[in-house]
Amino acid sequence: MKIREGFVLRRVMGQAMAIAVGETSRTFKGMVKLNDTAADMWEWMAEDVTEEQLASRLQEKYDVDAATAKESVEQFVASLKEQGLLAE
Amino acid sequence: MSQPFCIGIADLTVRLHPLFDSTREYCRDYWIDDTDTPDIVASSTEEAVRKELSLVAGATAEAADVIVVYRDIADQLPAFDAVVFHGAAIEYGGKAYLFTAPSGTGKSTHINLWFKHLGDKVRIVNGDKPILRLSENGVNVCSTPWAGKERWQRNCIVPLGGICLLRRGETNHIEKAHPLEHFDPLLRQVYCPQNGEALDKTLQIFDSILSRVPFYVLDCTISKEAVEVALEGLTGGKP
Repeated sequence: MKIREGFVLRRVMGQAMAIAVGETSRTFKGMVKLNDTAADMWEWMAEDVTEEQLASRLQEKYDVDAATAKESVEQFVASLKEQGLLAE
Repeated sequence: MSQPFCIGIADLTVRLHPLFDSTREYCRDYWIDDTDTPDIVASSTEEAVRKELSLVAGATAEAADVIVVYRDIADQLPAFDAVVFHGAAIEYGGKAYLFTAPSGTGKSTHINLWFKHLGDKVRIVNGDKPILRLSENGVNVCSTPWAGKERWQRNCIVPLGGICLLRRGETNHIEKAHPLEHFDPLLRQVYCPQNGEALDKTLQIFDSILSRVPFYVLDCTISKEAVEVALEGLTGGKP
């Protein structure tokens, strides 16, 4: 599972956001606002990872329990799918 | 292909290679002598003009040419700590105030009220697409020939005193706000290059601009009071 190519991730005034560039900007308009954990997951998903790997990295970094990490990952992945942001 | 020519904008020298002589005329107020070492070289192509025409109903090839060369400039500005911003800037008391809003909200109407009620204490900087360029400690608003249908512009560079999001309201009210609370409408007014590196730089510059300059939200009617409220909020002054 990977993030679709063609986005720049950057913080403006502390707010993380992903904006489409190049060819991608023709089909994806606007930006995706991300909170801190979502921004981390977005970066980790530059390479092919599984939901389990994302959850365990969240647990490591944010000191949360397994159930909470799993739920965050599931929600994030679902919203990526809904917005067409996962690589085919 | 028309003759290339040079203009000075935002303290930069730009050589333009448009398709039509009308673009040269459009830039008249910014002409400078030709230079061998321009900071930016921008051009128009028949393909880009055709594409622009297919996107905008009723546009002429001459109007498209003007837009195409500016887009080429805008794509190169981030390397010089500068971005194109869609908004109307006026000068009052040595500082520029930049009003921004979606098209059709009434920026021109509001600025006209400033001219009407404050006379020659107010001067236009640019009515549509000025350049914002980081200076040593602040931000400068730099006028350009690209100034919307009214062509309100004056060849000048003025320190930016504030950015103000304009909204039509029932009453007149201005307050300082955090840019993040209004981020989507703000970011939409910044020209974002399609090239990833230039876009990345654009966002860095925008971040610096917002951290250096106060941001306000103005709800206003079409009235003299709207100007008084805006003026006091932005400058602390009375008319």
